[in-house]
Amino acid sequence: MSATDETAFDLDIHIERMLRGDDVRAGGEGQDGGEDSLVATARLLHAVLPRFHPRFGFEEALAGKLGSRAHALDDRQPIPFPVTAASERADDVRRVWDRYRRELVAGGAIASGVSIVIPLAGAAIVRWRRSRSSGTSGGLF
Amino acid sequence: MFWKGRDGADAAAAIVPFDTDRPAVEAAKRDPDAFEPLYRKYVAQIYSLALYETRDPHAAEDVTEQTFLRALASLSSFHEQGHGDESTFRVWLFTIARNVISNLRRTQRRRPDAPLESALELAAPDDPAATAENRVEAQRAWDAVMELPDDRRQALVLRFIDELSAREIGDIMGRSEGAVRVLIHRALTSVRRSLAE
Repeated sequence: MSATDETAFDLDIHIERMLRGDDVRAGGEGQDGGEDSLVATARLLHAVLPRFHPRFGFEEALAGKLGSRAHALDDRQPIPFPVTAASERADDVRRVWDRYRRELVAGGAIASGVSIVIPLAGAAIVRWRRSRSSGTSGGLF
Repeated sequence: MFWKGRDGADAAAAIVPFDTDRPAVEAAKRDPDAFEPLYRKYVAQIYSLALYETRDPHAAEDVTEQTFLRALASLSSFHEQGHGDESTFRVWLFTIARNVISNLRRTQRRRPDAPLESALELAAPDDPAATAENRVEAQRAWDAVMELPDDRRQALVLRFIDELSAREIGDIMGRSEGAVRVLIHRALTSVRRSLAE
């Protein structure tokens, strides 16, 4: 650590104590005149430099703007899982799912109906052809 | 407050400062509507830095607005680092503010040279009575600080006005803790010289 680093380190300790509210007096132990006046300058700046607060109207307007942005961000959050009836979004999802499921059931019923009709029709055709073939052969020969 | 890292053997060595904003940050990450307490806590600090840097209350409001809007939008990407560096929410927030100020400077041809009075016209100092009593001294100190080179002034404002540690300022400015201490030492030397004239 160079001499400058050490001096800067010591000064920073004084500043830290001052910011914490400890009583820091210029002319502390081991400080030469130059460093004393630097500590005094630090105390002066800390005492007189103003800390600003924004206008009330601005602060509230920005709070409102942040609130709307936050709300918009919140709307983009993923849908919670597992789906629960307590959530509005979950209700929406469930309604869509129920409709989809009903369509599936209806489609399934049609499909199964068709699958029953086809063999029945096949069997009827076979029986009709058999009856026709037996009747015809008897008539021709 | 402190907390220990999870790694058993290294836990003692890995003691890192506890970010006092962690509960609020976690809440805001889960629900962006919960960002408001963080905003209320830091709005004056960010505004103060912006006003010292821009010297223009309207520009300071722009910087403050952009800083918090950006912070809210990218909060999910903020991750506290627990490896000895004070990578806290406020360091992250001030880093955003510093970037916003840098961008603003690129677009500004000339920086307004506002005296303290004009800064006080639209901005409300936290302690008006104290400021009134020390108005002359405050004006001289303000002038002396405003004459400093950018990096020295910024380090001084972050240390004295926002009361950040040298390490935090180093993280914000991309410098070592020691370099920040030297920067502040040089800044105070310059201010002392200016006040003595």
